Amino acid sequence: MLSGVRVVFAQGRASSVVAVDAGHLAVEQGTLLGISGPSGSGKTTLLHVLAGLQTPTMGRVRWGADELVGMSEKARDSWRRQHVGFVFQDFHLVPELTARENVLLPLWFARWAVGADAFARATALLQQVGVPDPDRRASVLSRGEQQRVAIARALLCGPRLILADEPTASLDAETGAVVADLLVRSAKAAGATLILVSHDPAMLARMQVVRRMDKGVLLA
Amino acid sequence: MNPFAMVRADLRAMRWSAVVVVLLVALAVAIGIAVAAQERGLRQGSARAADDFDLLIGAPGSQTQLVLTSIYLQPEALPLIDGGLLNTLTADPRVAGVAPIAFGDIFRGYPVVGTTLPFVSRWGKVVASEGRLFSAEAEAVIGADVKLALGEDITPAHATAGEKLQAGEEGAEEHEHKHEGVVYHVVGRLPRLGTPWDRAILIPVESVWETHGLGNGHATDEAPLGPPFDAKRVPGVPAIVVKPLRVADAYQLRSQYRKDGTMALFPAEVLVSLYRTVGDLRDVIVIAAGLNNLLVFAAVLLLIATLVTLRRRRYAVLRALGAPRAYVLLVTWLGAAGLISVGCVLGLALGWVASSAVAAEVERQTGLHVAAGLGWGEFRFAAGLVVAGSLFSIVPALAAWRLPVSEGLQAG
Repeated sequence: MLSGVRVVFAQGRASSVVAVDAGHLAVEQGTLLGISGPSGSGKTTLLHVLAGLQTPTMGRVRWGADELVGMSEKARDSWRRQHVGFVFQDFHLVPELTARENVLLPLWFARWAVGADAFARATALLQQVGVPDPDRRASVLSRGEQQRVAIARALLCGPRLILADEPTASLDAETGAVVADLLVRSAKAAGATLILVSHDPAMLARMQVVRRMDKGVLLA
Repeated sequence: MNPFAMVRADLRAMRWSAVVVVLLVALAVAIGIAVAAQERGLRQGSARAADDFDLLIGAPGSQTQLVLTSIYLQPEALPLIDGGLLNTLTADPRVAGVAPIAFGDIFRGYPVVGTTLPFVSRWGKVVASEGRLFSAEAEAVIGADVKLALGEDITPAHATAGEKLQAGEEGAEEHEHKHEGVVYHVVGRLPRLGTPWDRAILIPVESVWETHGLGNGHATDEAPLGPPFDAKRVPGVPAIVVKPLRVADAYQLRSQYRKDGTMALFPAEVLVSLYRTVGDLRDVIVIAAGLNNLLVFAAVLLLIATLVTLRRRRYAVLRALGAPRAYVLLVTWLGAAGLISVGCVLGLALGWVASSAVAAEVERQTGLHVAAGLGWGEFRFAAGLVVAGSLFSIVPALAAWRLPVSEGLQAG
């Protein structure tokens, strides 16, 4: 649930620009929510606020019992690691690591050793998203495969919330459709809330709810 | 948290930059190490070479030259002192040992030095490693590095002052100044001393005098070698080395032979003043090497900081995936500290190699054995640099730590 969220960027001493005015947004667990809108309308900023990556100037961001705005940065990092899966437009894999290492990476943020079960889960997830060889370097994978690995990475910790920033915009239409399908299927299978920002009509058509943003304002 | 997968990925991403960083650090460290190790080795080696020369007596002139010529066998024409002093000193109760050092001749670039048995055996410390010491005129004992076989006959030549000698080779000057008809027979070889004397050919001082037509220093031709030299006029010698009985005797002898046409000195004292001069030079080199290290470290840290900034989106992604700031800090710090540490260790090895190479060259040119080994000082220096490098690596790591995530994600 999001209420009264505003992100204001100071511009000089006197004036400031309201980048996002999200008003009120409540999302049921398991909802597929699409946010559409032209470039520069504040979609990505909203997504970052929802993920606790950016603190809004005013307002509250609450997921279940967790209130992000008052949380320490450390607690937010930990919350994000446990509950959020992120999928980016440009995949953002670590190209020097293998597909499986990329999927396992978030586990290393918190622990020293990754158990055999996590290892097996990563391999299984990669199978599931259609990347058969987990030992290939991310840099040699095709763009479609890279986004599949990114989805597997987002799913590893069983997130309650999957945030996707233009997940199909860097892919050709055919690959994009496959990835969109995979993302929706995975979110449903995991019972996770999926919030995705996109201006791809085909992608948005798969969402249960679509909200539009314009000039920073989240329209009803 | 386990940063090693990311550290490995970061180093792989750096590729040649990582190699350049390691090499830059290694070279900078190696220069510092080599200078320090070499200076110390040279000091110890040259001091050891002077060990058996407690007190030198020569004609008044340059103290340094007397030391260089007698101990390091640098060819130079020195004025002579009265050979009769040898008898006086032999009879002196304050003297444990005395020997003339008469140079001036060479054979195939090896200096031919006339002396007496006590000094050939270094006051009784060494015995021949092959054959025996000389026991008659026209017999020669060779140093460990002289490339001659026992039983060979040699004909010395008059050396020219300041001539650049190439050990083992007969120069043009040498060829023209042969002492025709003079033959020495090699009867023994000395063990290695690690000093320029390893390249000397030692003969009885009597033979030197004979070769130059001055008689043999004795009243009869059949007299045994060594003092007393009972000729009416004992020929002169360029230097006399004296082993005093006690420390007090040493000072008394020195002051006594400082006047009346002779000069007496403790080579160790002359070396100390030389080291002081060289030491100032060394300080300059050490400071220059230190500044050089500082510059290289600054450049390397700047390079790493730049790379971290260039990769800000990569680290922002890690944060978005739930990595705490500390994880990003650890990854970038370990990467930088690791590269610098590897560079320091490699520099230690390179410094040792460079120092050994220089030591080998010094030995080839002068015969002076220089211990090029690394001392505690060098290890401490390298360890200090590893610690300092690791501490300063926190600077680029803090640059990564401070990156705002949201902006980083949207960076190009």
